Amino acid sequence: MTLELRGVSRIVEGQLHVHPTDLVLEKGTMNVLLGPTLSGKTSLMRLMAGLDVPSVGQVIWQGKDVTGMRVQDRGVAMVYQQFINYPSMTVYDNIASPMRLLGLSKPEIDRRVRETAELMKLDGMLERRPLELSGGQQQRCALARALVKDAGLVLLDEPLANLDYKLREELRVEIPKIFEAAGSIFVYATTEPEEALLLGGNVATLWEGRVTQFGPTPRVYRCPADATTARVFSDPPMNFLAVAKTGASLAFGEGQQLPAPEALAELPDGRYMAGFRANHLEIRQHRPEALRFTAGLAVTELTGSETFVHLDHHGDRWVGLIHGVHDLEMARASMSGSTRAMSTSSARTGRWWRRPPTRRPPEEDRTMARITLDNLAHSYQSNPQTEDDYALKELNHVWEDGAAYALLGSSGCGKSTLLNIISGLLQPSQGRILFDDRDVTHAATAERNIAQVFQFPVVYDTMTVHDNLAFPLRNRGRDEAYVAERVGEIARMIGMEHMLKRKARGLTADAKQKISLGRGMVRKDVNALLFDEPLTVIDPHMKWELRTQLKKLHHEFGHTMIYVTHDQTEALTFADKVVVMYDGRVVQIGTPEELFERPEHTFVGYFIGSPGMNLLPAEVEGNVAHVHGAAVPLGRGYGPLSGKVELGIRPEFARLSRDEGLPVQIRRVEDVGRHKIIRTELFGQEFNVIAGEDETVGADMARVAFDPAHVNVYADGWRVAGAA
Amino acid sequence: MNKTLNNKAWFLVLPVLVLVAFSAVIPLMTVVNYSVQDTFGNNQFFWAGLEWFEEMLHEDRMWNALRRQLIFSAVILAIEVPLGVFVALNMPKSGAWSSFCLVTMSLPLLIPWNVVGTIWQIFGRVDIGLLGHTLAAMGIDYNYTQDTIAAWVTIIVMDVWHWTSLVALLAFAGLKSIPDAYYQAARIDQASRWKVFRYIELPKMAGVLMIAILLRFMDSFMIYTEPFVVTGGGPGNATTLLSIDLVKMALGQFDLGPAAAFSLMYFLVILAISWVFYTVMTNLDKKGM
Repeated sequence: MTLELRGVSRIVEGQLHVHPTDLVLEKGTMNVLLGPTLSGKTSLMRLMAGLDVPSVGQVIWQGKDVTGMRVQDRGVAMVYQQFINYPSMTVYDNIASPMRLLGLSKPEIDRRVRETAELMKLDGMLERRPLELSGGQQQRCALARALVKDAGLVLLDEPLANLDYKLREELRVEIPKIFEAAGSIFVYATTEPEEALLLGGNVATLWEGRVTQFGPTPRVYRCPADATTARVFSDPPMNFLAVAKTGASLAFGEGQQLPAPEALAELPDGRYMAGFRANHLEIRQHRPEALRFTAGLAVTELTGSETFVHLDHHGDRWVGLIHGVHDLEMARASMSGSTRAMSTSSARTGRWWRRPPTRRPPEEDRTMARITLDNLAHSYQSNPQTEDDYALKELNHVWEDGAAYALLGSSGCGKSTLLNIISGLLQPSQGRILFDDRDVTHAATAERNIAQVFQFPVVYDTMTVHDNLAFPLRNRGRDEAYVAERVGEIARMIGMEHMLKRKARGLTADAKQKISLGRGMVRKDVNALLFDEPLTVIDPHMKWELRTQLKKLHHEFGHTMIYVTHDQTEALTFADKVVVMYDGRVVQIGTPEELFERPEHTFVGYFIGSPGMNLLPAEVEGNVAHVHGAAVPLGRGYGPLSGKVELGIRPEFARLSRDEGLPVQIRRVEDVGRHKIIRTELFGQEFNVIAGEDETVGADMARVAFDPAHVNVYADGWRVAGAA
Repeated sequence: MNKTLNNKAWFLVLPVLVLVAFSAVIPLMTVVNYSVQDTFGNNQFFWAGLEWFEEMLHEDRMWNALRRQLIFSAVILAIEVPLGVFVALNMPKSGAWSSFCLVTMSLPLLIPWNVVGTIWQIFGRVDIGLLGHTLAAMGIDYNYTQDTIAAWVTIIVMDVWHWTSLVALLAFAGLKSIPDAYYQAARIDQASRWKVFRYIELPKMAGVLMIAILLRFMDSFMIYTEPFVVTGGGPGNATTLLSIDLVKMALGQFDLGPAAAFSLMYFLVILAISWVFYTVMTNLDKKGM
């Protein structure tokens, strides 16, 4: 069973949507189409399915030419970004529907429905209707409908794009397993490099309607055929720099020399471009052969366990991903790095300059805003009885002026409710909200002087970019000279000076989102900038750019910023303090580092980090824990604990070993590019370990050891602080 | 795949061709036929060439009817579109009231044309009509059978009553499709009510409003039944719109040739206007409305 595209191309109204493509997909493989929005992923899929007829070329299915055959006769299954189920049918009938159309017998249908439901973990909810399910379950139902048909070709068009970050992560782990069992040809479109890596199989990178490379996923990732492929298949973005080869040596821009590696011996002399990934950049001389480079530091972003540095190297933008949390405001740090991509294996070092101190605007321009939430709670019901009726449970908190906060949680956890209360779009059912000492609980949105950026870009289509940015100022009656000056400044900041004159209609999503951001920043008197999942509709590469821009703006202007998201990376990199919410309740407020190292609740441990924290039921006595009889040393001593006691260990703080720790069985090793995720079984329980990109995992590594300082103890879900 | 190559498939479109021929092509051709011939009865016809067309173009009667027609269409558009938008803006967006409004609004659309005509004919009568009698009792001189202005006001109010809901419903659908975030952003930007309308609601409604204008224009341009039932084109010729005039000419006076020429020109005008609308709308589409 193979699907072959022979010179397939599609032209619509004189525009080339898909360049002539040759592709052979084998039975039982997972094939990922990776590329940004509008790169031709969906067009290519439609050609494969027979939903569109190619302008040129043939589609061969099992050796037969099926070009132009109706999609109904092709036996393909498709899953879309939107969860498409029949709303009036139960889950059972939904899954059964394709087989009923095929006219299968009742017992046969029943058997297969139950089998597939079990595989998709839907067996408990067969009698429910799709709208009574969560988003993840709805998409599982759609997936089950696609799988149950036993179609030879299953096409999935960004099936996880509309799901929460954490759900996405879980399904990503499950999907390859399910597919292994099914044995069809799977084609999976996505914009996210990380997803492609997790899914494994083969990947075809797409750029502007062209397949730039097709091959096994790790190989395409490690040896991209050209710079375009490297750019498409990298998150954070690939870094590039100019290099010249003369004879047996490579020369880099600043006089750094390196003997050319063997692999490049045949390469003719000349000027080339070298590419290296973010995680191959270091801030210290980690290896003697590493080269030094000097770069300017634009922004640093700290997640709980890693540091992203955004550098400016003579006009080239570089991103570095460095292990650990580094305070880069210290005077000069030096940086070293190694490049491996593009089949070079040169290495380098760098040096950067101290970040300019945060510039705060002069006092008269600023309105101070410390935001106090006093006894705040909200219920969407008019007469709430129990605590469950509250979408937002009682909350007392002070948001400090000038800080960046993130509200993190899955959908329905109350984070948007809280944001809307702050912005005044919603009146809380109880409690007060104060801006400094002024009670604004019942003040209208316009009086609060806040700015908000929404999930979907809101721009005034019929106005020019300039007028869009000027809108809030003009509404407040500022004079035109001032408006022009401010608009000019803001346009420069968001990098849109060159398109001020054009209409906002027809701009790309990220450009529109920049305009909404600019509209928020144009007023100098804003008390706070609120963001409601602003990067949802943005491609991964643009996310990086917009996020750095936000960060930079925050440093420059020091506005209080509140950012709502379900994506932990966004929350951790953006915020000084992250507020983790669960079921209408704030479970922890802390710096990314605190959330990572000392999650107060098991939910925080699970929600932050990918994969999340491992939990092991244990008995704790003093500074030793007993897990299934085996002793685990703890960094601290504990008194007697009541309730359900568990150890929480992050995959980052566990390592496989030959002779130390608890016995484990390795189930699978997932290469996700910059590190490996090792899925193991520990006393019959799933346990994840993260290992470095270069670490080898031997079959004889049958034990797992933990770093005692990073083992947390939980009683009934809440962390217990031990005594040192 | 083996493909059978012959042209038998053409037979499958035959039923449609026959149907279209009987329903459209043959009647139209009959009209074309009448328009280029003259008759003195006895089923004898003489070739007249383009004479009728020439005569009709020099006829004041047709130009007057066309003038009245354009005034009528312009007036009802000028009233119904803003009024419909205004009604849509003030309709409740959700809940039981919203459904109630929608049903109430669609009622006039369900009433057959000549019933509408009859309703207003009786409603406006000075002797027994509620409206006419009340106005007369208030001392207002209102009699649509004698007074030109009263006749015009009656047919315009009738059309507004009948069709404003169509515009309102379409505009309402357009408004419903605007995400809440736009209104929230506008509140944050401190936009006035007028600016919200001008920069958010109107641009988002533009597409459906174009359709509403097109529908209302075409419909009003071809209107016949209601004014015919109410005023019969009178007093005098004061409310004789194009199609009323056409019917008078063709069936009342049995001037087949001129009437045929008239109706062909009428048809061409409508075709031309539709084309203009269509082009404007597809261009708007391309701009991403």
